[in-house]
Amino acid sequence: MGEGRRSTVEGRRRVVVTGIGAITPIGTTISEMWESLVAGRSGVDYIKRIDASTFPTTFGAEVRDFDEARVPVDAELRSILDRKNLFGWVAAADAVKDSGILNAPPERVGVALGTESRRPDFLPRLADGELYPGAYDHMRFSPFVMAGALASRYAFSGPQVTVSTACTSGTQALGVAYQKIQWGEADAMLSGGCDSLIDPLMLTGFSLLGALSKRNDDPSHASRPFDLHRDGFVLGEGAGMLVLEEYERAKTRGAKIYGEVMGYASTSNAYRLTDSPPDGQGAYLSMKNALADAGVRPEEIGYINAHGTSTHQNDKSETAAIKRCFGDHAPHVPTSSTKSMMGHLVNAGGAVELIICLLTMMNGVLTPTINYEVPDPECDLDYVPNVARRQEVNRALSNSFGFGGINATVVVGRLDS
Amino acid sequence: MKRRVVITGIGLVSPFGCGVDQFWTALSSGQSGGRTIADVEGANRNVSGAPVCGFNVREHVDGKSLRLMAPAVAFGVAAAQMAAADSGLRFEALEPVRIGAFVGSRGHSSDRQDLMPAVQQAAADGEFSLAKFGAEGLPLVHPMWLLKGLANNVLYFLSLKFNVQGMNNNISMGGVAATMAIGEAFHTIQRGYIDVALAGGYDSALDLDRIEMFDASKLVTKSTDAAHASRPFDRRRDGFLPSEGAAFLMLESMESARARGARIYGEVVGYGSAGAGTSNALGPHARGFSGALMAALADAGVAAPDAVFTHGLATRQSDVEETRALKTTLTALGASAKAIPAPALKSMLGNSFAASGAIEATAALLALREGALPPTINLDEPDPECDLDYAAGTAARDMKLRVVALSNANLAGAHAALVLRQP
Repeated sequence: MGEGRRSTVEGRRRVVVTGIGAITPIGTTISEMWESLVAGRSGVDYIKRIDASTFPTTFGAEVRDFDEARVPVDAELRSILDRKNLFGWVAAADAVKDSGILNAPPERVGVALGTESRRPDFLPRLADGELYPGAYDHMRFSPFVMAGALASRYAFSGPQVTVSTACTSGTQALGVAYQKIQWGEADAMLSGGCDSLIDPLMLTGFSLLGALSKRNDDPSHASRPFDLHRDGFVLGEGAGMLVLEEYERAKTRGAKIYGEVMGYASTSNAYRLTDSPPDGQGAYLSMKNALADAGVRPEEIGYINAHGTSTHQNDKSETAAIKRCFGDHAPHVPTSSTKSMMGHLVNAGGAVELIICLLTMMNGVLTPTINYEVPDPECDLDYVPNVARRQEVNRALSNSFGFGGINATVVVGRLDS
Repeated sequence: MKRRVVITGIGLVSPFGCGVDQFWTALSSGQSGGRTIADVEGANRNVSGAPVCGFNVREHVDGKSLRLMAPAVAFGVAAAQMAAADSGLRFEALEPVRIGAFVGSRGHSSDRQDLMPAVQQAAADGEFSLAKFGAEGLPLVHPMWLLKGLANNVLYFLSLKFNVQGMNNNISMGGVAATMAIGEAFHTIQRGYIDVALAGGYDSALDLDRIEMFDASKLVTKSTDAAHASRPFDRRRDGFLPSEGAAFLMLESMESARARGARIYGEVVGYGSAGAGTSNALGPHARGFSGALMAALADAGVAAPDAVFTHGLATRQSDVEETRALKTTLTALGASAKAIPAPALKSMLGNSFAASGAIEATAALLALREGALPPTINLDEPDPECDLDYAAGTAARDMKLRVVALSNANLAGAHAALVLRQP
């Protein structure tokens, strides 16, 4: 790829990733998460934080060994940051530190997050009749409080964006962050997502919709994207945060560069609130437009981190969309779902999965889709079944598709290729 | 090349009804949307607020769809449909992937009434038991409960109704949500990703959940005189007046609007957003207001605007910080801050959070059209720290308006501004 092609032809600035941080059910540091991914380790087990024993689904992917000492001690801040935001806080701290951006902060740094409000104690409080006793409860339950808290913590003066499109949020937030740097509205953005679905309300809502796996006798094999016997997704929790930065600036200050954000697109498809259309129309357009935005041909993509939720409909529809987008090349693009190991992080998913794409390119290792045992005739791509694979990757693509028919795709590339 | 972006349709669900003419008549004659709401179910007390009036949801949404919508979602869907109809745009003639939608949303909301029977069942032994809820409560909850308050519900219905398949976003950012939704749609059309977009916001600060949530916050007015409760920049203000509603705009490339001979309400020429850039600064802040306004004016390539439609929240922090920001920003642009009128429409409309920016943008577009500036009402004794020309009074001020700015903030310190120009 010509160094200056995109910036000179299109007049847009190039954007790179200079810092990453993640809190996931299979690791609370980047190295721990990567080790688990390569080993194909499942983070799914019976839910321990709440009594889920009588729910149709009794298991999930919980974050364990979360170091509470790393979260803020300020009492007021603690009262407005709930569990998912504490994940976000720590992941952001790791990403910011990793980037070294605070050593010479640019003038305009913004924050773009995918998240929404969660209310783990809503049901018992509803029973008690006292829902909101705290003076800061309106903040605690505002989806946008985390962007404000992080901007305040680091004294960032750039744009703040909070996106709530359920499973697509994290990817859309990253897309917006990328465009804001690209078009000169910001010089760097702290961007990603955080969420916690191990929560009675979410367990209720998703159980009632029939979206969750009910493999209660064998939780660690429940998330089985693209496998014939998949029966729904697994609730997870965590956070992924990235520092996106204008390329010239990052290069000048000698920053470590994980890769370039090359393209983004979002689309919507009018179908059903909970399902994607069988022909994968919205997902297809999302990938096609993101590739066009990146100026990357489908054959150049060496890895797809699939949305791959392990629901019957998503995996079928996503496979159809990949085939439409990649044509004859589709069977040759390794496509894995890391949700097979860490479950569905919903608002945080897209961010963690983009980090995985970057690590895949850096390490030259494809992370697997575990629990892949019986092929589904309707899902016939190379899903990197069960074991990691050594493979050089120069361009990767991450998909996120959400309830309500919102789709988003980000394309990343190695800078030195 | 950046493309020009114009507004060709408006849809409104407001305390002054759904028609733009009726809305303008109320604003230009300094009416208050404030009412005493006596029947807030569950609150067991009167609430001062500015509720939506003259809106019959069944004229806009069919019964089947309505069952999948929290009440505020229906405001949003209705307003967007009205904007689409008002524009006269033939959606079916467009390539679906060139149509976008950008929604300022309240985020996920749960209707507690839907959960109450199950919760009562789970607490039948005196104490709430999650195990009992899972076993006996779950069957009592509507299977689609989660989707009714889905954060991106409006986006879904717009996609379904108008075959929107292009770039989109659902921005859940309280008081700046709709302002940013319009701004993001503007940039996305301007930069050529799409040709047209529905953009706006919806919300309610008047459902039981929000009322209770803000009770302990000291941010909401305690006044029982609803019509005089919202007093931005006045010394006796005591918080914002909760409101509800929705507004959507049809944004279109100038090229597309001209080609079809569309009526043009105005042009979006600038958008900017910013944080305070200082630590320990949650909430509206002078540096955030100023940063957003400067960015929007620079984006527009214009100097000082003819008027600024302020956030004017009627909390002390917001009003004082905003005043400070207007002074430094306008002075830096070589203007005299006191010579640029800065009305606070929340004095009449109250605060409808994620809807406010779009409702206020609608008012700004009508002001450009009418050549008149709506007033700040209830501003009888200005706060000494708030000493600008807020167009106080009860009558619109006739004046030549060519370019106006709109400024908003949220409670976590995000700020956004738009610059609008006469067609």
